[in-house]
Amino acid sequence: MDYHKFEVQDFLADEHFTSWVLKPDAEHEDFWTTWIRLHPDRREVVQQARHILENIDFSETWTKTERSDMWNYIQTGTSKSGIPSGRKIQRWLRMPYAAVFALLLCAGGWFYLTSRPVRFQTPYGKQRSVTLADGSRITLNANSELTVRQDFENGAKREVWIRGEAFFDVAKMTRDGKKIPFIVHTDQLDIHVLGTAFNITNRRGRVDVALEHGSVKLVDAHNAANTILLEPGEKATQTITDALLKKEIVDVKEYSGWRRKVFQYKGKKLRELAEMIGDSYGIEVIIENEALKEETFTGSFPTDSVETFFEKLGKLYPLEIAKNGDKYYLR
Amino acid sequence: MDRESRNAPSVSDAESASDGHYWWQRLRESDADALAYFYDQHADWLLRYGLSVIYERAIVKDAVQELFLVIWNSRHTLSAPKSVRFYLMASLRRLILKNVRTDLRLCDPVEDMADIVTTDSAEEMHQAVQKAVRSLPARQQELIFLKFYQKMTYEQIEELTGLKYQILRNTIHRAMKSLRTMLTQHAVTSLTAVFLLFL
Repeated sequence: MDYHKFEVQDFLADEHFTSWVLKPDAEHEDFWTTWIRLHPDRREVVQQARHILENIDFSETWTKTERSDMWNYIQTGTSKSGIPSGRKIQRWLRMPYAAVFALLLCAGGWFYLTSRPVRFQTPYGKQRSVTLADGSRITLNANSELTVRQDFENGAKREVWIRGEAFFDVAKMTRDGKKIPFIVHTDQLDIHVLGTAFNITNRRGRVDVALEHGSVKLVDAHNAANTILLEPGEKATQTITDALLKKEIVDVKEYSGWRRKVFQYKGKKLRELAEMIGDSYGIEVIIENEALKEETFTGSFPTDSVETFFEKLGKLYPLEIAKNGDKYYLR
Repeated sequence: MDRESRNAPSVSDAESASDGHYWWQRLRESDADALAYFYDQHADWLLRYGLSVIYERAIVKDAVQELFLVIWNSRHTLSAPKSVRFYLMASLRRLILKNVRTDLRLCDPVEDMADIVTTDSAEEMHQAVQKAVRSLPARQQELIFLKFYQKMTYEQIEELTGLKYQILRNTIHRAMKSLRTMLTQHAVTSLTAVFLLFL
Protein backbone atom coordinates (compact mmCIF):
# COMPACT_ATOMS: atom_id res chain seq x y z
CA MET A 1 0.00 0.00 0.00
CA ASP A 2 1.21 3.48 -0.83
CA TYR A 3 0.09 4.85 2.51
CA HIS A 4 2.29 7.91 2.18
CA LYS A 5 0.10 9.10 -0.70
CA PHE A 6 -3.09 8.61 1.29
CA GLU A 7 -5.42 11.48 2.11
CA VAL A 8 -7.83 11.47 5.04
CA GLN A 9 -10.63 9.80 3.06
CA ASP A 10 -8.27 7.11 1.77
CA PHE A 11 -7.29 6.17 5.30
CA LEU A 12 -10.93 6.16 6.36
CA ALA A 13 -11.87 3.73 3.61
CA ASP A 14 -8.90 1.47 4.32
CA GLU A 15 -9.74 -1.66 6.27
CA HIS A 16 -6.27 -1.98 7.77
CA PHE A 17 -6.33 1.55 9.09
CA THR A 18 -9.90 1.47 10.41
CA SER A 19 -9.27 -1.83 12.19
CA TRP A 20 -6.44 -0.19 14.06
CA VAL A 21 -8.72 2.57 15.33
CA LEU A 22 -11.87 0.54 15.91
CA LYS A 23 -10.57 -2.84 17.07
CA PRO A 24 -7.01 -2.19 18.17
CA ASP A 25 -4.66 -5.13 18.62
CA ALA A 26 -0.91 -5.47 19.05
CA GLU A 27 -0.22 -6.16 15.38
CA HIS A 28 -2.04 -3.08 14.09
CA GLU A 29 -0.66 -0.95 16.89
CA ASP A 30 2.91 -1.93 15.97
CA PHE A 31 2.41 -1.31 12.31
CA TRP A 32 0.80 2.09 12.61
CA THR A 33 2.95 3.57 15.36
CA THR A 34 6.02 2.56 13.36
CA TRP A 35 4.53 3.91 10.17
CA ILE A 36 3.70 7.26 11.75
CA ARG A 37 7.21 7.51 13.18
CA LEU A 38 8.67 6.89 9.72
CA HIS A 39 6.35 9.39 8.05
CA PRO A 40 6.19 12.42 10.35
CA ASP A 41 4.82 14.58 7.53
CA ARG A 42 1.69 12.36 7.33
CA ARG A 43 1.10 12.37 11.04
CA GLU A 44 -1.49 15.08 10.90
CA VAL A 45 -3.46 13.43 8.12
CA VAL A 46 -3.56 10.23 10.17
CA GLN A 47 -4.72 12.13 13.25
CA GLN A 48 -7.53 13.79 11.30
CA ALA A 49 -8.72 10.46 9.97
CA ARG A 50 -8.50 8.97 13.43
CA HIS A 51 -10.52 11.79 14.90
CA ILE A 52 -13.34 11.51 12.45
CA LEU A 53 -13.52 7.78 12.97
CA GLU A 54 -13.51 8.00 16.74
CA ASN A 55 -16.32 10.50 16.67
CA ILE A 56 -18.68 8.55 14.48
CA ASP A 57 -21.60 7.67 16.70
CA PHE A 58 -25.25 6.84 16.39
CA SER A 59 -26.99 7.53 19.64
CA GLU A 60 -30.69 7.90 18.85
CA THR A 61 -33.07 6.12 21.19
CA TRP A 62 -36.83 5.82 21.21
CA THR A 63 -38.52 8.03 23.75
CA LYS A 64 -40.44 6.24 26.50
CA THR A 65 -43.72 7.18 24.84
CA GLU A 66 -42.65 6.00 21.40
CA ARG A 67 -41.39 2.77 22.84
CA SER A 68 -44.61 1.96 24.66
CA ASP A 69 -46.82 3.22 21.80
CA MET A 70 -45.06 0.91 19.40
CA TRP A 71 -45.23 -2.01 21.78
CA ASN A 72 -48.95 -1.44 22.35
CA TYR A 73 -49.46 -1.38 18.62
CA ILE A 74 -47.52 -4.62 18.19
CA GLN A 75 -49.42 -6.28 21.01
CA THR A 76 -52.76 -5.23 19.54
CA GLY A 77 -51.64 -6.85 16.30
CA THR A 78 -50.44 -10.07 17.87
CA SER A 79 -53.42 -10.63 20.14
CA LYS A 80 -55.91 -10.70 17.28
CA SER A 81 -56.79 -13.97 15.63
CA GLY A 82 -56.50 -14.00 11.86
CA ILE A 83 -54.12 -11.09 11.88
CA PRO A 84 -54.00 -9.05 8.71
CA SER A 85 -50.56 -8.26 7.36
CA GLY A 86 -48.71 -5.45 9.05
CA ARG A 87 -49.06 -3.31 6.00
CA LYS A 88 -52.81 -3.41 6.04
CA ILE A 89 -52.85 -2.46 9.69
CA GLN A 90 -50.63 0.48 8.96
CA ARG A 91 -52.92 1.92 6.30
CA TRP A 92 -55.89 1.27 8.48
CA LEU A 93 -54.30 3.09 11.38
CA ARG A 94 -53.46 6.09 9.31
CA MET A 95 -57.16 6.78 8.83
CA PRO A 96 -58.35 9.56 11.13
CA TYR A 97 -61.41 7.58 12.28
CA ALA A 98 -59.21 4.80 13.40
CA ALA A 99 -57.02 7.20 15.30
CA VAL A 100 -59.99 8.69 17.13
CA PHE A 101 -61.36 5.25 17.83
CA ALA A 102 -58.03 4.04 19.14
CA LEU A 103 -57.78 7.10 21.34
CA LEU A 104 -61.21 6.48 22.83
CA LEU A 105 -60.37 2.86 23.37
CA CYS A 106 -57.17 3.79 25.15
CA ALA A 107 -58.93 6.34 27.31
CA GLY A 108 -61.65 3.85 28.20
CA GLY A 109 -59.11 1.19 28.98
CA TRP A 110 -57.13 3.62 31.05
CA PHE A 111 -60.09 4.55 33.25
CA TYR A 112 -61.00 0.91 33.64
CA LEU A 113 -57.50 -0.18 34.51
CA THR A 114 -56.47 2.63 36.82
CA SER A 115 -59.13 1.62 39.29
CA ARG A 116 -57.25 -1.33 40.81
CA PRO A 117 -53.71 -2.67 41.30
CA VAL A 118 -52.46 -5.34 38.92
CA ARG A 119 -51.45 -8.70 40.29
CA PHE A 120 -49.33 -11.27 38.48
CA GLN A 121 -49.21 -14.78 39.92
CA THR A 122 -47.54 -18.08 39.13
CA PRO A 123 -48.73 -21.51 40.24
CA TYR A 124 -46.42 -24.27 41.47
CA GLY A 125 -43.90 -25.42 38.86
CA LYS A 126 -44.54 -22.54 36.44
CA GLN A 127 -42.70 -19.34 35.59
CA ARG A 128 -43.78 -16.18 33.88
CA SER A 129 -42.23 -12.91 32.82
CA VAL A 130 -43.82 -9.52 32.85
CA THR A 131 -42.78 -6.30 31.15
CA LEU A 132 -43.92 -3.22 33.02
CA ALA A 133 -44.89 0.07 31.43
CA ASP A 134 -41.45 1.55 32.13
CA GLY A 135 -39.71 -1.27 30.25
CA SER A 136 -38.57 -3.15 33.36
CA ARG A 137 -38.72 -6.91 33.01
CA ILE A 138 -39.58 -9.17 35.89
CA THR A 139 -39.44 -12.95 35.78
CA LEU A 140 -41.53 -14.66 38.41
CA ASN A 141 -40.46 -18.04 39.67
CA ALA A 142 -42.99 -20.70 40.66
CA ASN A 143 -45.48 -19.96 43.43
CA SER A 144 -44.86 -16.22 43.46
CA GLU A 145 -46.83 -13.02 43.21
CA LEU A 146 -46.02 -9.55 41.95
CA THR A 147 -48.28 -6.60 42.66
CA VAL A 148 -47.95 -3.37 40.70
CA ARG A 149 -49.70 -0.14 41.46
CA GLN A 150 -51.92 1.13 38.65
CA ASP A 151 -50.34 4.54 38.17
CA PHE A 152 -47.02 2.77 38.48
CA GLU A 153 -44.99 4.76 35.94
CA ASN A 154 -46.59 8.15 36.63
CA GLY A 155 -45.73 8.70 40.28
CA ALA A 156 -42.63 10.16 41.88
CA LYS A 157 -41.46 6.60 42.52
CA ARG A 158 -42.18 3.25 40.94
CA GLU A 159 -43.38 0.74 43.55
CA VAL A 160 -44.00 -2.98 43.35
CA TRP A 161 -44.55 -5.75 45.91
CA ILE A 162 -43.15 -9.24 45.72
CA ARG A 163 -43.94 -12.49 47.46
CA GLY A 164 -42.03 -15.64 46.50
CA GLU A 165 -39.10 -15.34 44.13
CA ALA A 166 -38.40 -13.09 41.16
CA PHE A 167 -35.63 -11.78 38.99
CA PHE A 168 -35.73 -8.04 38.31
CA ASP A 169 -34.17 -6.27 35.35
CA VAL A 170 -35.05 -2.68 36.08
CA ALA A 171 -35.04 -0.02 33.37
CA LYS A 172 -33.69 3.41 34.17
CA MET A 173 -36.33 6.08 34.10
CA THR A 174 -36.05 9.84 34.27
CA ARG A 175 -38.66 12.56 34.19
CA ASP A 176 -37.74 16.23 33.80
CA GLY A 177 -34.13 15.24 34.32
CA LYS A 178 -34.89 13.50 37.63
CA LYS A 179 -34.32 9.81 38.19
CA ILE A 180 -37.47 7.99 39.17
CA PRO A 181 -36.52 5.39 41.79
CA PHE A 182 -37.84 1.85 41.60
CA ILE A 183 -38.76 0.30 44.94
CA VAL A 184 -39.47 -3.35 45.58
CA HIS A 185 -41.31 -4.04 48.83
CA THR A 186 -40.97 -7.35 50.62
CA ASP A 187 -42.05 -8.43 54.07
CA GLN A 188 -38.85 -7.36 55.78
CA LEU A 189 -37.06 -5.20 53.24
CA ASP A 190 -37.50 -2.38 50.81
CA ILE A 191 -35.12 -2.49 47.88
CA HIS A 192 -34.28 0.84 46.27
CA VAL A 193 -33.11 0.46 42.73
CA LEU A 194 -31.58 2.62 40.03
CA GLY A 195 -31.48 0.51 36.85
CA THR A 196 -30.09 -2.89 37.66
CA ALA A 197 -30.68 -6.66 37.68
CA PHE A 198 -31.11 -8.79 40.79
CA ASN A 199 -32.88 -11.77 42.27
CA ILE A 200 -35.22 -11.64 45.25
CA THR A 201 -36.53 -14.44 47.37
CA ASN A 202 -39.18 -13.51 49.89
CA ARG A 203 -40.32 -16.74 51.52
CA ARG A 204 -40.64 -18.23 54.98
CA GLY A 205 -39.88 -15.02 56.84
CA ARG A 206 -36.58 -14.59 55.08
CA VAL A 207 -35.58 -12.23 52.26
CA ASP A 208 -32.57 -12.86 50.01
CA VAL A 209 -31.40 -10.31 47.48
CA ALA A 210 -28.63 -11.30 45.05
CA LEU A 211 -27.33 -8.58 42.74
CA GLU A 212 -26.23 -9.36 39.18
CA HIS A 213 -25.25 -5.86 38.03
CA GLY A 214 -25.92 -2.23 38.91
CA SER A 215 -26.46 -1.28 42.52
CA VAL A 216 -29.28 -1.40 45.04
CA LYS A 217 -29.87 -0.02 48.48
CA LEU A 218 -31.71 -2.18 50.98
CA VAL A 219 -33.79 -0.60 53.70
CA ASP A 220 -35.25 -2.50 56.64
CA ALA A 221 -39.01 -2.19 56.31
CA HIS A 222 -39.33 -1.73 60.07
CA ASN A 223 -36.26 0.37 60.75
CA ALA A 224 -35.33 2.91 58.09
CA ALA A 225 -31.93 3.46 59.69
CA ASN A 226 -30.92 -0.12 59.00
CA THR A 227 -29.66 0.04 55.41
CA ILE A 228 -27.04 -1.62 53.28
CA LEU A 229 -25.63 -0.97 49.80
CA LEU A 230 -25.21 -4.04 47.64
CA GLU A 231 -22.46 -4.46 45.02
CA PRO A 232 -22.67 -6.82 42.02
CA GLY A 233 -22.00 -10.42 43.04
CA GLU A 234 -23.18 -9.83 46.60
CA LYS A 235 -26.19 -11.23 48.36
CA ALA A 236 -27.93 -9.78 51.38
CA THR A 237 -30.21 -11.60 53.76
CA GLN A 238 -32.75 -10.36 56.24
CA THR A 239 -34.79 -12.63 58.44
CA ILE A 240 -37.56 -11.83 60.85
CA THR A 241 -35.40 -12.67 63.83
CA ASP A 242 -32.13 -10.96 62.87
CA ALA A 243 -31.81 -7.32 63.77
CA LEU A 244 -29.25 -6.51 61.14
CA LEU A 245 -28.84 -7.02 57.43
CA LYS A 246 -26.12 -9.47 56.53
CA LYS A 247 -24.23 -9.52 53.27
CA GLU A 248 -21.88 -12.00 51.63
CA ILE A 249 -20.25 -12.65 48.27
CA VAL A 250 -22.04 -15.31 46.25
CA ASP A 251 -22.30 -16.79 42.80
CA VAL A 252 -25.33 -14.86 41.60
CA LYS A 253 -26.02 -17.43 38.87
CA GLU A 254 -26.98 -19.81 41.62
CA TYR A 255 -29.78 -17.44 42.54
CA SER A 256 -31.04 -16.52 39.09
CA GLY A 257 -30.38 -19.72 37.12
CA TRP A 258 -34.01 -20.73 37.43
CA ARG A 259 -34.85 -18.09 34.82
CA ARG A 260 -33.09 -20.21 32.22
CA LYS A 261 -35.07 -23.18 33.42
CA VAL A 262 -32.08 -24.55 35.25
CA PHE A 263 -31.43 -24.70 38.95
CA GLN A 264 -27.72 -24.46 39.48
CA TYR A 265 -26.02 -24.96 42.82
CA LYS A 266 -22.57 -25.06 44.25
CA GLY A 267 -22.17 -26.56 47.71
CA LYS A 268 -25.79 -25.91 48.68
CA LYS A 269 -26.91 -27.49 51.95
CA LEU A 270 -29.50 -30.17 51.37
CA ARG A 271 -31.85 -28.73 53.97
CA GLU A 272 -31.86 -25.39 52.11
CA LEU A 273 -32.42 -27.17 48.82
CA ALA A 274 -35.28 -29.12 50.32
CA GLU A 275 -37.02 -25.88 51.34
CA MET A 276 -36.44 -24.27 47.99
CA ILE A 277 -37.76 -27.25 46.07
CA GLY A 278 -40.74 -27.49 48.34
CA ASP A 279 -41.59 -23.83 47.65
CA SER A 280 -41.22 -24.16 43.90
CA TYR A 281 -43.13 -27.36 43.32
CA GLY A 282 -45.63 -27.34 46.15
CA ILE A 283 -44.22 -30.53 47.59
CA GLU A 284 -42.70 -31.30 50.94
CA VAL A 285 -39.21 -32.70 51.19
CA ILE A 286 -38.51 -34.31 54.52
CA ILE A 287 -34.95 -35.25 55.38
CA GLU A 288 -35.14 -37.83 58.13
CA ASN A 289 -31.43 -38.13 58.67
CA GLU A 290 -29.83 -35.18 60.54
CA ALA A 291 -26.38 -35.74 59.03
CA LEU A 292 -27.85 -35.69 55.54
CA LYS A 293 -29.32 -32.23 56.12
CA GLU A 294 -25.84 -30.75 56.33
CA GLU A 295 -24.58 -32.53 53.21
CA THR A 296 -24.06 -30.29 50.19
CA PHE A 297 -25.26 -30.50 46.60
CA THR A 298 -23.29 -29.23 43.61
CA GLY A 299 -24.81 -29.48 40.18
CA SER A 300 -27.78 -28.43 38.12
CA PHE A 301 -31.15 -29.80 37.18
CA PRO A 302 -33.99 -28.57 34.96
CA THR A 303 -36.64 -26.53 36.76
CA ASP A 304 -39.48 -28.36 35.08
CA SER A 305 -38.51 -31.77 36.42
CA VAL A 306 -38.25 -32.32 40.13
CA GLU A 307 -37.80 -36.03 39.35
CA THR A 308 -34.43 -35.35 37.71
CA PHE A 309 -33.27 -33.73 40.92
CA PHE A 310 -34.21 -36.73 43.02
CA GLU A 311 -32.58 -39.08 40.52
CA LYS A 312 -29.32 -37.11 40.70
CA LEU A 313 -29.50 -37.00 44.44
CA GLY A 314 -29.98 -40.77 44.59
CA LYS A 315 -26.81 -41.27 42.60
CA LEU A 316 -24.76 -38.87 44.72
CA TYR A 317 -25.69 -40.08 48.18
CA PRO A 318 -26.41 -43.49 49.62
CA LEU A 319 -30.00 -42.66 50.38
CA GLU A 320 -33.45 -43.98 49.90
CA ILE A 321 -36.20 -41.81 48.45
CA ALA A 322 -39.75 -42.59 49.35
CA LYS A 323 -42.75 -40.78 47.93
CA ASN A 324 -46.10 -40.45 49.58
CA GLY A 325 -48.48 -38.08 47.78
CA ASP A 326 -46.87 -34.65 47.88
CA LYS A 327 -44.29 -35.73 50.42
CA TYR A 328 -40.81 -36.97 49.59
CA TYR A 329 -38.83 -38.68 52.34
CA LEU A 330 -35.05 -38.86 52.17
CA ARG A 331 -33.51 -41.36 54.51
CA MET B 1 -32.42 1.96 28.93
CA ASP B 2 -28.80 2.67 28.46
CA ARG B 3 -27.47 -0.72 27.62
CA GLU B 4 -25.47 0.25 24.56
CA SER B 5 -22.49 2.42 25.17
CA ARG B 6 -20.65 4.40 22.58
CA ASN B 7 -18.37 1.54 21.79
CA ALA B 8 -21.23 -0.51 20.55
CA PRO B 9 -20.94 -4.27 20.45
CA SER B 10 -20.54 -5.95 17.09
CA VAL B 11 -23.11 -8.27 15.56
CA SER B 12 -21.78 -11.40 17.15
CA ASP B 13 -21.45 -10.31 20.75
CA ALA B 14 -24.49 -8.05 20.86
CA GLU B 15 -26.23 -10.63 22.99
CA SER B 16 -25.16 -14.00 24.17
CA ALA B 17 -26.02 -16.55 21.51
CA SER B 18 -27.52 -18.93 24.03
CA ASP B 19 -29.99 -16.31 25.28
CA GLY B 20 -30.95 -15.57 21.71
CA HIS B 21 -31.55 -19.21 20.91
CA TYR B 22 -33.44 -19.82 24.10
CA TRP B 23 -35.85 -16.96 23.42
CA TRP B 24 -36.13 -17.81 19.75
CA GLN B 25 -37.30 -21.28 20.71
CA ARG B 26 -39.87 -19.76 23.04
CA LEU B 27 -41.01 -17.45 20.26
CA ARG B 28 -41.66 -20.47 18.06
CA GLU B 29 -43.71 -21.90 20.90
CA SER B 30 -45.88 -18.77 20.72
CA ASP B 31 -44.58 -17.23 23.94
CA ALA B 32 -45.41 -13.53 23.74
CA ASP B 33 -42.69 -12.83 26.30
CA ALA B 34 -40.13 -13.83 23.72
CA LEU B 35 -41.35 -11.14 21.36
CA ALA B 36 -41.14 -8.65 24.22
CA TYR B 37 -37.62 -9.82 24.93
CA PHE B 38 -36.46 -9.20 21.37
CA TYR B 39 -38.24 -5.87 21.25
CA ASP B 40 -36.58 -4.85 24.48
CA GLN B 41 -33.15 -5.91 23.33
CA HIS B 42 -33.19 -4.51 19.82
CA ALA B 43 -35.66 -1.62 19.50
CA ASP B 44 -33.11 1.16 19.96
CA TRP B 45 -30.57 -0.55 17.79
CA LEU B 46 -33.13 -0.91 15.02
CA LEU B 47 -33.94 2.80 15.32
CA ARG B 48 -30.31 3.71 14.80
CA TYR B 49 -29.89 1.40 11.89
CA GLY B 50 -33.27 2.33 10.43
CA LEU B 51 -32.41 6.02 10.56
CA SER B 52 -29.23 5.34 8.68
CA VAL B 53 -31.22 3.61 5.95
CA ILE B 54 -33.70 6.46 5.83
CA TYR B 55 -33.47 9.49 8.05
CA GLU B 56 -37.17 9.70 8.77
CA ARG B 57 -38.30 8.64 12.20
CA ALA B 58 -41.95 7.97 11.31
CA ILE B 59 -40.99 5.57 8.53
CA VAL B 60 -38.58 3.70 10.79
CA LYS B 61 -41.25 3.50 13.46
CA ASP B 62 -43.78 1.97 11.05
CA ALA B 63 -41.19 -0.47 9.78
CA VAL B 64 -40.12 -1.61 13.26
CA GLN B 65 -43.75 -2.24 14.23
CA GLU B 66 -44.35 -4.12 11.03
CA LEU B 67 -41.18 -6.14 11.55
CA PHE B 68 -42.30 -7.42 14.95
CA LEU B 69 -45.77 -8.26 13.65
CA VAL B 70 -44.28 -10.13 10.71
CA ILE B 71 -42.02 -12.11 13.03
CA TRP B 72 -44.92 -12.99 15.27
CA ASN B 73 -47.14 -14.03 12.37
CA SER B 74 -44.52 -16.26 10.84
CA ARG B 75 -43.07 -17.59 14.10
CA HIS B 76 -43.98 -21.20 13.34
CA THR B 77 -42.02 -21.28 10.10
CA LEU B 78 -38.98 -19.23 11.09
CA SER B 79 -35.76 -21.10 11.63
CA ALA B 80 -33.35 -19.85 14.28
CA PRO B 81 -31.00 -17.26 12.76
CA LYS B 82 -27.27 -17.30 13.47
CA SER B 83 -27.55 -13.82 14.89
CA VAL B 84 -30.93 -12.43 15.84
CA ARG B 85 -29.69 -8.88 15.51
CA PHE B 86 -28.37 -9.46 12.01
CA TYR B 87 -31.64 -11.11 11.05
CA LEU B 88 -33.68 -8.22 12.43
CA MET B 89 -31.51 -5.65 10.67
CA ALA B 90 -31.77 -7.42 7.32
CA SER B 91 -35.55 -7.71 7.67
CA LEU B 92 -35.96 -4.11 8.75
CA ARG B 93 -33.93 -2.99 5.78
CA ARG B 94 -36.17 -4.93 3.39
CA LEU B 95 -39.32 -3.50 4.96
CA ILE B 96 -38.08 0.07 4.82
CA LEU B 97 -36.95 -0.14 1.23
CA LYS B 98 -40.22 -1.79 0.26
CA ASN B 99 -42.25 0.96 1.87
CA VAL B 100 -40.24 3.92 0.76
CA ARG B 101 -40.64 5.51 -2.62
CA THR B 102 -37.52 5.47 -4.71
CA ASP B 103 -37.26 9.23 -4.98
CA LEU B 104 -37.28 9.59 -1.23
CA ARG B 105 -34.61 7.00 -0.86
CA LEU B 106 -32.24 8.55 -3.34
CA CYS B 107 -32.68 12.22 -2.57
CA ASP B 108 -29.56 14.03 -1.55
CA PRO B 109 -28.96 15.91 1.67
CA VAL B 110 -30.87 19.10 2.29
CA GLU B 111 -28.90 20.01 5.36
CA ASP B 112 -27.26 23.41 5.36
CA MET B 113 -23.62 22.76 6.03
CA ALA B 114 -22.65 26.30 6.94
CA ASP B 115 -23.15 25.81 10.66
CA ILE B 116 -21.15 22.66 10.91
CA VAL B 117 -17.69 24.11 10.70
CA THR B 118 -16.25 25.57 13.85
CA THR B 119 -15.23 23.11 16.50
CA ASP B 120 -12.98 23.81 19.38
CA SER B 121 -13.90 21.27 21.99
CA ALA B 122 -14.06 17.52 21.90
CA GLU B 123 -17.81 17.62 22.51
CA GLU B 124 -18.37 20.04 19.65
CA MET B 125 -16.22 17.89 17.43
CA HIS B 126 -18.33 14.91 18.38
CA GLN B 127 -21.54 16.74 17.55
CA ALA B 128 -20.12 18.15 14.34
CA VAL B 129 -19.28 14.64 13.14
CA GLN B 130 -22.82 13.40 13.97
CA LYS B 131 -24.30 16.26 12.08
CA ALA B 132 -22.04 15.79 9.11
CA VAL B 133 -22.82 12.07 8.97
CA ARG B 134 -26.55 12.73 9.10
CA SER B 135 -26.29 15.12 6.17
CA LEU B 136 -24.83 12.48 3.87
CA PRO B 137 -26.95 10.56 1.35
CA ALA B 138 -28.84 7.64 2.92
CA ARG B 139 -26.78 4.87 1.38
CA GLN B 140 -23.58 6.45 2.69
CA GLN B 141 -25.03 6.85 6.17
CA GLU B 142 -26.07 3.24 6.21
CA LEU B 143 -22.61 2.02 5.25
CA ILE B 144 -20.96 4.25 7.84
CA PHE B 145 -23.30 2.82 10.45
CA LEU B 146 -22.51 -0.75 9.50
CA LYS B 147 -18.79 -0.31 8.99
CA PHE B 148 -17.76 2.10 11.72
CA TYR B 149 -20.46 1.86 14.36
CA GLN B 150 -21.51 -1.75 14.08
CA LYS B 151 -17.93 -2.66 13.04
CA MET B 152 -19.01 -5.21 10.50
CA THR B 153 -16.60 -6.62 7.95
CA TYR B 154 -17.08 -5.95 4.25
CA GLU B 155 -18.23 -9.57 3.84
CA GLN B 156 -20.96 -9.13 6.47
CA ILE B 157 -22.10 -5.91 4.83
CA GLU B 158 -22.19 -7.64 1.44
CA GLU B 159 -24.41 -10.30 2.95
CA LEU B 160 -26.74 -7.78 4.52
CA THR B 161 -27.09 -5.30 1.69
CA GLY B 162 -26.34 -7.41 -1.37
CA LEU B 163 -23.89 -4.74 -2.53
CA LYS B 164 -20.55 -5.79 -3.97
CA TYR B 165 -17.25 -5.08 -2.24
CA GLN B 166 -16.08 -2.55 -4.82
CA ILE B 167 -19.30 -0.56 -4.54
CA LEU B 168 -19.15 -0.64 -0.76
CA ARG B 169 -15.60 0.55 -0.71
CA ASN B 170 -16.21 3.32 -3.24
CA THR B 171 -19.30 4.53 -1.39
CA ILE B 172 -17.43 4.66 1.89
CA HIS B 173 -14.57 6.46 0.23
CA ARG B 174 -16.95 9.04 -1.21
CA ALA B 175 -18.69 9.42 2.15
CA MET B 176 -15.42 9.95 3.94
CA LYS B 177 -14.34 12.54 1.43
CA SER B 178 -17.54 14.53 2.01
CA LEU B 179 -17.15 14.18 5.76
CA ARG B 180 -13.67 15.48 5.63
CA THR B 181 -14.66 18.43 3.47
CA MET B 182 -17.49 19.30 5.82
CA LEU B 183 -15.33 19.15 8.90
CA THR B 184 -13.05 21.78 7.53
CA GLN B 185 -9.31 21.64 7.61
CA HIS B 186 -9.20 24.40 10.18
CA ALA B 187 -11.62 22.80 12.60
CA VAL B 188 -9.99 19.42 12.68
CA THR B 189 -6.49 20.81 12.78
CA SER B 190 -7.13 22.96 15.80
CA LEU B 191 -8.44 19.93 17.63
CA THR B 192 -5.52 17.82 16.48
CA ALA B 193 -3.15 20.39 17.91
CA VAL B 194 -4.82 20.07 21.26
CA PHE B 195 -4.75 16.32 20.97
CA LEU B 196 -1.04 16.24 20.11
CA LEU B 197 -0.18 18.16 23.25
CA PHE B 198 -1.31 15.17 25.24
CA LEU B 199 0.72 12.63 23.31
